[in-house]
Amino acid sequence: MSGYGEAILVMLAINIVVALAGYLPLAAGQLNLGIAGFMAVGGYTSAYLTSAYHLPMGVGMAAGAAAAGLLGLLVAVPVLRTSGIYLALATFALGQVIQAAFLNIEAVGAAAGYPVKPYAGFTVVLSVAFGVLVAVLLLSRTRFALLLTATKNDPLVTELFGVDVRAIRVAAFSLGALIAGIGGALYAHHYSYLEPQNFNIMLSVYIALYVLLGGTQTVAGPIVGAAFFTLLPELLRAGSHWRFVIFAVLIILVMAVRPEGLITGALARRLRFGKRREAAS
Amino acid sequence: MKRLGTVSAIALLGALAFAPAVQAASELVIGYSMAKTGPYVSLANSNEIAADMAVDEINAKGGVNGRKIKLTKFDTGGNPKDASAAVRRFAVDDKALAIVGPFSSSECRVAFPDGERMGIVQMSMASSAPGLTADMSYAFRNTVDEGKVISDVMETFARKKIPSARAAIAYGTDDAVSKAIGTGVLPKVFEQYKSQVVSTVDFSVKAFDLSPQASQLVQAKPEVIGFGAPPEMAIKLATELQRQGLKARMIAGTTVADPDLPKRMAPAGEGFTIGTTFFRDLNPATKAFSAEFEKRAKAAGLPRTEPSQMDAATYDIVLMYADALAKTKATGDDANLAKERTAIRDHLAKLKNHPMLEGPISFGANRDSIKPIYILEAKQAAWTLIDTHEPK
Amino acid sequence: MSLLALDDVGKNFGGLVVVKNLSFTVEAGQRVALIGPNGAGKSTVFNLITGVYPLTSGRVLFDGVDITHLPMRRRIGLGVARSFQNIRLMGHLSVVENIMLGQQPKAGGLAALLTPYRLMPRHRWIEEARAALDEAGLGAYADLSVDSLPYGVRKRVDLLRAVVANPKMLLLDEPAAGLNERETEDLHDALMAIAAKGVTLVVVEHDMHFVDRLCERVVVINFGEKIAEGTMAEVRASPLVREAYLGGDATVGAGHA
Repeated sequence: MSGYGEAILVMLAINIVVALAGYLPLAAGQLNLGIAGFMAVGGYTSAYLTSAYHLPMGVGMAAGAAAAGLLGLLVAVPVLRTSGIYLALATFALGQVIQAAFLNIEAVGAAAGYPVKPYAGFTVVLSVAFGVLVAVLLLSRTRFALLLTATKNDPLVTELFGVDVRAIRVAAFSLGALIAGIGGALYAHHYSYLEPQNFNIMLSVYIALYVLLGGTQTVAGPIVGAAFFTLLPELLRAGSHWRFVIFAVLIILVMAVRPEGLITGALARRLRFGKRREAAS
Repeated sequence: MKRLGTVSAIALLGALAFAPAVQAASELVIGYSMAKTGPYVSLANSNEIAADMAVDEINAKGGVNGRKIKLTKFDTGGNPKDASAAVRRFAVDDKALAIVGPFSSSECRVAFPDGERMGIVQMSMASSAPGLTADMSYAFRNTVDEGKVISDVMETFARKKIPSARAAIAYGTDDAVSKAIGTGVLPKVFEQYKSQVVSTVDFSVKAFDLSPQASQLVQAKPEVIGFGAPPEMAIKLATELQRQGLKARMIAGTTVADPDLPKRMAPAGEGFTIGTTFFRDLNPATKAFSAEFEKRAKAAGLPRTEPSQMDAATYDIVLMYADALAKTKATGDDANLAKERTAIRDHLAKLKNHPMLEGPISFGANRDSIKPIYILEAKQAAWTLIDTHEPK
Repeated sequence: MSLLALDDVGKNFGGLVVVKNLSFTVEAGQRVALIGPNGAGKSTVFNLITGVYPLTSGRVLFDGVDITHLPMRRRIGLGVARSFQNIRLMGHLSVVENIMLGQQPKAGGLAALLTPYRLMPRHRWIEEARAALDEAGLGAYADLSVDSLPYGVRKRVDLLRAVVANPKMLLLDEPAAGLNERETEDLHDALMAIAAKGVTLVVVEHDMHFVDRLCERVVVINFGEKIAEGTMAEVRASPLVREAYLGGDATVGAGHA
């Protein structure tokens, strides 16, 4: 593996983790535009605990994930009273508030940023990301995943079939926040430095785009979306100045051709059947 | 079948893009981590011209140790993650001996620890946030501490009896360097020179309108206004102050050292005084450098053709590397790579008053450069040199 | 004791009175139709029984329990299930997965929620859903996505999803709407089979011929008020009912309304 290839795989791994963080609430029909804020909470918590209290990195990351998840739970209750564009706005504002808070917390360096000591190398980042991916894949095979889809599709009918739709939404939102916390902690320990500016609104928007472009119907969607956004700009490096223009045009094309995202449930089913048919013949 | 074709095409493309680059053994490789796109583009995209100029000059004279220098480049887009990827590519894939850049403090903060782990020298041409290289040994910056630069400006005022008893501070809050200057550097410098701070205003570096801050400053009637924010905000504030009729000198460090700034501010900003590390009309060498740079920048179609202090710093970094490669007899051979990279580090760390384009350069204990500071004043839409502080 | 009792139920939307002083009962095992002209408030009555809307006044009792203020998700646990006038299935999911939502009331707690059943060969839930589909003659569609199915089939999947929840009472909002004669006939047979298992049926339907064959009793409402109740023959004789249907139009009960 080349050094550059490793670096790109690390970016991809972290991007897949945060894409999954955005995917969970979107699977229940909620657009969280504050993912970067939850990443910041996870990253700063882990960085602070490992630096100030010399806790092991694993403990720091777990605490970072828990802190982000807990914050998600606390804000989910009021925030999820809104829906649609208002929910997106509320989470957007939340992300801004979190970023502004870290700009002013002197204990973690405020605007100057915060150095992170324990280093998570290639293997650690990829292993943790793989763990998250497996956990989400397992979750996608459960009734919880079915209820996420049902909630997104028709909350009223879902409620009538005995489901506490609000609880499902809160769970999806908080779980997404927790995973974002893991993504933030991986970022912190791999890149060794945190700045509030790293966790700006553009990052949240990009994460939402990973999921929307990849598709919200299956777990493969956010993975493909993250890969698209991570690898394509690298493949287009040859185009130099034009690469972001070409990239933007490709995004528009994809959304025009596949408005439901690159990977849809129907496509996934077709691929599965294809395999079965091949195996049978 | 069609799907299979597409998949293999993508896989092939990926393999090509991410495969280690193969190097011709006869060249000495230097990596160049450049912020050619992204937020720093207006300051950083011209650095490449200076770097290429330095390499061309060295190779025209036969290279180093009988080998040509090869600059491999990577555009980070000003993004810390890409700056980290750049270090890995240069160190692992390209077998570079040292790295020019990265540009910004944000990138340095991420890339310096990487360079430290991989044992390869990096030298930034623009990062000036304080304390960044503290725990490192391979991290260099050919930049000067903002505190030193601004205090040199005040020193010049004291020497030339330019009134500065009443001072004000204006700074951006949402940019790390700006905030550090506004809350750390400027109050300390003003205290040192017994200037009374009569007003402090802050703003977002993305603010559209600075008239409220300007009117607050007008009421306080300062004689000097210490400024910490990017050049665009300097233009806004100078223009607004002129409109509201305040005649005070703005002073700043290297963050606003844009060669075109007086032209862009005019007719406002008269008397704006800055400290910088490069002045084009200093001597025949700087004039020749500027002329050649201008020619190349025009050919490349850049909007600014005058070299900035970062362009000069980039040029000097490449020349310093070439000198270090020669003095340490670097070969770039795989077997000795780690040893040679470390030798380059040790050579650079010991440099004392090394004659360069920017003036004599040394490196301090924290591997930030020590070099002359030129005090420039904006007069009739151009910078004029009013004082020079040689390193002690 | 009646299975369902509406006691002086009223519903206003702002100043608009949609249901007024409505009382009627449904006995366990009965097949009852709720009919009335368009806009009479029939769907609103379903929404009041299932808790989609809160009542403005009155009470709803089910199986002896006052469910007036019970959250709607709790009602299916007591045995109230319904279908919708417009099919409301999860379009991009398979038929089996849609049926599985119907299993939710009896699926159990957190452990059941987090069981990765799709990785387990022949998991009970999938097998049960398939069995229900086979029994309803829909087995062939099990793995297809709902979006790809013809209207009539989707309608049957929608009904089956409610049946799978094992309700005591099934509220059906225009089950025959949009079906051709053959499909209507199949629906009649399917509903009779469901009723034969002891499930109480309450049907809102415009097809009077269908209602006449399926239901033992009819409640007629107009402008949110009950105007008649009894067998089809009895309500057909009521002048108020004739009045309500286009000022005495004799088409009431003469087939498709």
